[in-house]
Amino acid sequence: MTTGAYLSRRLIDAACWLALVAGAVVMIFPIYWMFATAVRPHTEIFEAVARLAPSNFSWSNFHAVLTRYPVLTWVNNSVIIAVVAVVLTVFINLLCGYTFAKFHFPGRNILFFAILGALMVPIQVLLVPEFLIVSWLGLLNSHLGVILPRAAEAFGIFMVRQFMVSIPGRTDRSRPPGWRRGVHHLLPHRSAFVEADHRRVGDLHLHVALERFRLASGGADGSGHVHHPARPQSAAR
Amino acid sequence: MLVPYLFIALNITLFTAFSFLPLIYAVYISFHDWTLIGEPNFIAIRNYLRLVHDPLFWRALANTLLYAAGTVPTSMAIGLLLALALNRRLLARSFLRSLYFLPLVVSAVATGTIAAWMFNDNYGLLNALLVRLGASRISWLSSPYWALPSLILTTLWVRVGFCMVVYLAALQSIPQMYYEAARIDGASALHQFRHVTLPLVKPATFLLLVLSIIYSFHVFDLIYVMTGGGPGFSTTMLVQYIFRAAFVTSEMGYASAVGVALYALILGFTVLQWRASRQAENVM
Repeated sequence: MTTGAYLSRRLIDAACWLALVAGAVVMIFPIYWMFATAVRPHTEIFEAVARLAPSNFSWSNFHAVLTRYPVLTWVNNSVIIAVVAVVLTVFINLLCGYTFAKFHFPGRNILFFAILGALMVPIQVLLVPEFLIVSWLGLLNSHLGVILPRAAEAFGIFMVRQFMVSIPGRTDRSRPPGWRRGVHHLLPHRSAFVEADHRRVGDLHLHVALERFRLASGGADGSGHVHHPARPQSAAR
Repeated sequence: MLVPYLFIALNITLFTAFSFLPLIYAVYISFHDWTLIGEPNFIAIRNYLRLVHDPLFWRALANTLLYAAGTVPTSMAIGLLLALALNRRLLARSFLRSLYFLPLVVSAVATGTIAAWMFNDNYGLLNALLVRLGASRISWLSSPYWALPSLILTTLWVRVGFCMVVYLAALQSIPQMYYEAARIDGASALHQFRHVTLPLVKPATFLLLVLSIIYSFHVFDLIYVMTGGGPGFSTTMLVQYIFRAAFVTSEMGYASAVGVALYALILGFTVLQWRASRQAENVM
């Protein structure tokens, strides 16, 4: 590479970096503002002139939350549900997405479209029938009743499938991959792409699990022993 | 031969129990008059007839389409730009990547609360900034003109990080040798982007397009917290409308009918996209 090309490349890098840092400040600011509002003295919140930094730190809001509400129970429920849901969801959806990407079997397209279709139904419409099924299974007011309905996640299957499809090779229309070859392909150390995908699906599922938790527990029973911080009406984004 | 079915069995079982059966039930209920209490009363297609003649339904549909048009292309374009920049070897790029992803981790209710506070007419940060710059205040969330743009801005804040992560993963799976080959053939940076990068991130683009449209059509809690669908009905989306019918006015049959209509709409959109991108090999 010539010196000129190298210099212009470094210049573009520098410009990109500055723009990215400016953008990151915008991204992080609302989160900072949330924190700043939480620790501000009450009088300062309703001032017309916004101060960037709180004049005085007051932790009474945090104290109030911790003493007035069963936050520890909420955290406990969230952790249990998040851990179980993430393990279960990543396992079954990775397997399922992989199968849709790399195997050819009768009924594949119909099943995939049915699953994709399930992603399109607004959750508010499904709440009532889902509640009936959860209660019929005797899972009302249990952690499992929150985890199971969202464990099979069309979002996860779709995402895994799209990434597996973009991994070159392995798709062989005449000869479906055998069991061993298939499982090997799924193992993390086999492919950097797939590994990156494992982690991403994990991250996103943690997030999705937390979101769904608020919804599902609200759908199950707002006053049940599964305490949750959000209102029962909240739903998927 | 049984292996693929074995792999998907657990998933399909859960789907049948918690998605397919509820969906069938929702379709069944959409032909009934049901207040959630007592027996559903069969009224054939009267819920759907009511829907077609309901100006509020059309208003909600228009709002939803506007919101989707404002969020889907923008978030994907910004996400792709961010991914391209963050894919270069830059100082602290992993840290920068996580900063862009961070808003996605905040729950929608918290996002809505803090955004509503920043957009607040009297005490909000944005108006304070405008005043300091010598401009006049804007009634962000209390005027029908600005409420939707405020919601779109907040949504972008959350969603660009997601698009960035998906595109970043797609970019990382492009082998470097394609770029080397293109450079040897004398392709400029722009050519490389158009003829190497764009075609190879197509599966990711399709994924994001479908998911973003679905998310935009399903938006609920952000709006519930920020504007409650108002002022007037200026930010009432289809899902708000469904929620109102189902749990406020207890017309479960009508709510299901609107839900089925929304489902059909998204399905239509997806089939169109699928047709459009099917020529590109390996996408579906």
